[in-house]
Amino acid sequence: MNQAAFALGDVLLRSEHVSLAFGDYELDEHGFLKAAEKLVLNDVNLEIHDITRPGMITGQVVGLLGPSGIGKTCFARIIAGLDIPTTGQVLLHNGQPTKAGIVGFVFQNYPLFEDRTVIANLVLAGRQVGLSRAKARDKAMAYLERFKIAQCAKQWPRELSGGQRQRVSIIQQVLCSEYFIVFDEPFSGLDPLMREETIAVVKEIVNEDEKNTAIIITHDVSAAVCSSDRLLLVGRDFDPATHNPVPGARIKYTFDLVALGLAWRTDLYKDPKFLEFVGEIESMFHEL
Amino acid sequence: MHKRSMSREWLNLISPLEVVDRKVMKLYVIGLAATFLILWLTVKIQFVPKLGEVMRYFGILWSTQGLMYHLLTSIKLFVHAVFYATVFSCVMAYLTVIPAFNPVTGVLSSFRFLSMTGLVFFVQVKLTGGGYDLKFWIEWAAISAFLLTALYSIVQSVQQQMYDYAYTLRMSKWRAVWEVTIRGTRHQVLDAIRQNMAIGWMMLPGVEALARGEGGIGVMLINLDKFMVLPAILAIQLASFVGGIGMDYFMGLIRRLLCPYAVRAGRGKQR
Ligand SMILES: Nc1ncnc2c1ncn2[C@@H]1O[C@H](COP(=O)(O)OP(=O)(O)OP(=O)(O)O)[C@@H](O)[C@H]1O
Ligand SMILES: [Mg+2]
Repeated sequence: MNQAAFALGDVLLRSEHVSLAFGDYELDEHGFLKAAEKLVLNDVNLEIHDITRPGMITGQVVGLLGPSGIGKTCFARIIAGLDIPTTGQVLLHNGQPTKAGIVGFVFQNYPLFEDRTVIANLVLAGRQVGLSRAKARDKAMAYLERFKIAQCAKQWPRELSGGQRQRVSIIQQVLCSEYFIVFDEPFSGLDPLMREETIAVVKEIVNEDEKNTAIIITHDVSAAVCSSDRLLLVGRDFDPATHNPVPGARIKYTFDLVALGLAWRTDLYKDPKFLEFVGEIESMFHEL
Repeated sequence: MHKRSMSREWLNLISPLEVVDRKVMKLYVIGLAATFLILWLTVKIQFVPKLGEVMRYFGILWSTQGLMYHLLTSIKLFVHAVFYATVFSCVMAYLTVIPAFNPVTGVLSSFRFLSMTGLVFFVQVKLTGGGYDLKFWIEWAAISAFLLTALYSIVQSVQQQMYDYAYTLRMSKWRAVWEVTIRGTRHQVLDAIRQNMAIGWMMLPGVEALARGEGGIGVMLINLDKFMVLPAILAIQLASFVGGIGMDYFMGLIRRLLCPYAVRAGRGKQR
């Protein structure tokens, strides 16, 4: 496989000066509460390009890493059109602002409509993008079979295991979204084998269409490196005098895993370069 | 081996947080009921009439006093009031997804702290219909006040994430209300209706006492109260009990029909 042969195509998603602040309170000099703002995101800029490789369909996987509470979920929700940023905007490939539904979002606890069977949940998603009932059903069944959970089709969501539920959630978002799907912590609570399977599922879905793009939010550095072609480290700046973090996170570091020779590989676990890189990223968490 | 596991099952019966085999539970309940019946038939306790006597009065009341007619009168009034209370409470609770309705429903639901007697005055002044209308509106108000509170809290406790989830499936806000608020909570709503029906059924005799012309279980009880015929009163209680349990069972069937997804897992399954 020739790793080097790739090119950057159009911009598929662009985050322009996205900032986010929540209303908050703080103590004034007399010890009274006064209204204040809590800055979570400060001027986050990002461009996700279509990566093309000759002779194959290559989707994009972007890993978003950062310490807990830094604002990853907030940023992801803005990308998915679920929240509106205080300033700035997120634009899609056609120049339109992002919108819920166009960009899919797989929540951390994998909600489903509990009063519909698995297949009914999926058919609903297909119908939302204009498929006929029969077409939606066929498509849903094909995905269920591919991810080896066809036997769950007639079950109620509450009868699913955690891993089955995750797959159904992912399929549902795939059926309904356009090219983008955001995953919030897809690896939490999974054993190593399941984690590998989830990575495989994401890759398989992403490589179905040239423009397909997954944004994966996670704390799991090695899973992020395994699945992504690009890593973003979210963090805050530090006041040089006091060494206290300055409010407002931004993307502090970007790693191009393609250039580093760590993307699109199946034998990554065996490569010492991989372990070294994971260690390097993990140690960087101290500075985020 | 089989014997040991059976004795284990019986031990489970008196251990906390244990799951008991269906058969064992059935045997236990039958045994309990039999013991209770035998005690009632044989042991004489002060103020508690014997079962035979209660059944004898039940027969008399049924054949000569129109017990069935009174029971049906009560059920008719009750179902009428429950139906309108349910429609009203559902509409008002679901409407709280619109912010403007939130305080309205909040205030309405706090009416459960009003006194019933005060309400009766108000309704009496307002209504000339008297009789049935008075009973209907009081029963309706009593059920509504509690049912509305329950449904309001069900609607308000829907997680924001479920709405966000609906949006990720390209649903409009109205569609999200339909899918998440209305469809998605129907098992809870049915449970709340069922519970409040029980409360309403218990209050009904008191309401019927407000206007006695048409009869009903409550009127029968009041009339008999004067004579202190305990077995007769128990016989009427029995009729009221059977009527209430019957309606509750019916609601259970409806819930199974409308909410197959929320049928509790079989006891065996949990293990
Ligand atoms: N609705 C809100 N109101 C006020 N503050 C909020 C709100 N939502 C999030 N925050 C704050 O924004 C910050 C970032 O939260 P976010 O959930 O994005 O963190 P995260 O990076 O996803 O963390 P984790 O990895 O633990 O999920 C946190 O400090 C949080 O307290
Ligand atoms: Mg998060």
